[in-house]
Amino acid sequence: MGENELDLELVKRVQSGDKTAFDVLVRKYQHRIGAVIGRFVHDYAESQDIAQETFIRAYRALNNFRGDAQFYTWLYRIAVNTAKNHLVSMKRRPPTSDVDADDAEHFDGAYRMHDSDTPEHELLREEIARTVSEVVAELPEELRQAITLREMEGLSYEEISETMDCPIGTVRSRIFRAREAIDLRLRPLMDSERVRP
Amino acid sequence: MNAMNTLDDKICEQLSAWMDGELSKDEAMFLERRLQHDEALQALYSRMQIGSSYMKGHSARLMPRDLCSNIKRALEEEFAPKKSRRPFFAWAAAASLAFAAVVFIPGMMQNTQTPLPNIAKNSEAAFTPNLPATFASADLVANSPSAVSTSVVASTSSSVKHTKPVVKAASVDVVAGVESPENFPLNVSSENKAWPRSPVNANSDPALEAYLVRHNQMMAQDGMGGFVPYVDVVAQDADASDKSSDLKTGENAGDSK
Repeated sequence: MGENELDLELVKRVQSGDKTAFDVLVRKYQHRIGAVIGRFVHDYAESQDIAQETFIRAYRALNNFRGDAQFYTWLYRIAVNTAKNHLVSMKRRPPTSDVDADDAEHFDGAYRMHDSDTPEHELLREEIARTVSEVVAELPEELRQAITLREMEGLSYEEISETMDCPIGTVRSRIFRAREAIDLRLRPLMDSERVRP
Repeated sequence: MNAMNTLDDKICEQLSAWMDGELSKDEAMFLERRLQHDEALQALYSRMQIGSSYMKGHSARLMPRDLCSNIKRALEEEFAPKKSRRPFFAWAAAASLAFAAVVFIPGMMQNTQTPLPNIAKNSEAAFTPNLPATFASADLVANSPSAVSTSVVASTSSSVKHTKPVVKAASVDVVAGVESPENFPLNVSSENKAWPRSPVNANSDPALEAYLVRHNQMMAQDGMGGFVPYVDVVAQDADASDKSSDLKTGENAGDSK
């Protein structure tokens, strides 16, 4: 099941009254939405409030979501509008130019968009990115290949099992062990107090 | 596994597969339920999401741990069924009424002992506030002094003038504002009733008879006239009774107008 199908299923569950499914969506996208808002709002506490408002607005409007666009794209637009409205309400000028969600995600200079973030957060972000790259590079070949096919190529477990010529259970195990190795290195960084001012 | 101290490998592997949408429906339901309460699993999921985002080239900014719970709480408050304030107001209104009743009703009860203003005087024929409520039927009400028209009362007082009682009551209870049967306005229609007959000879003591008539009507006024307070137990001769039955018919017709 692809990312979009997975989201659509969660959205349908929310629309049918399953609040747990919305919680899953929040947990899944909170950090990415946080990054989107961080492009507009410098202050970390403010960005938390805007992120909360974004998800609340999304929940209110979720019954109108028909699945024509990807859920994240829809959520991204809500986040951008909420952040802009916040700046207007605070009598601050929102940026005149904006980047579309799809473009923003794969924008070559994505890191340059974080000008409004604090140097400390910028440093942390760079540290996390470097750590992830280092861990992936250090992974055993079968783990690295499995996680790369999944995360970068977006293949399903079945497709990966065909590509790697191994059972789906093995793919599942390899991907998990790759993530476990990354988590082992990320944990000290993300649990530190400097991450959560 | 050392990376996830309190979590076993199985649940961690399930979380990884669930992130990719590769978990069976039952397992996914179980995991999502656990994710609601298990903070260690939530933290692991956050880290895995961050790592995944960076591998995909997505930017991410770590949000505080309580963001999800804050959103959840805010949504619960917003979409929870609003409790009606009616019960509170109902209780408040009831308490106010009870208080008002306790404070004001005793005073109002005392005020009812005093004479009513002009309005009551003007409508005396139609409404007598001092008249206690009785279980009287419509007929009884029609026969009561309060229902008798002013003209009837006036004619009654003049017609029975000659039957002023000689017998004076030693003590007369104050009933409906009339101190003595002598002053009680006699209802002619009742006086002329043909039944029941009393064994007392009407010709023997007209004063006694007049007194009995007034007394009986006065007592009937508030239902205190004995077993049948509305029955005029008077002594009249047979001729008078025949004559009175004709009068009675005409009187009732007038009352009903």
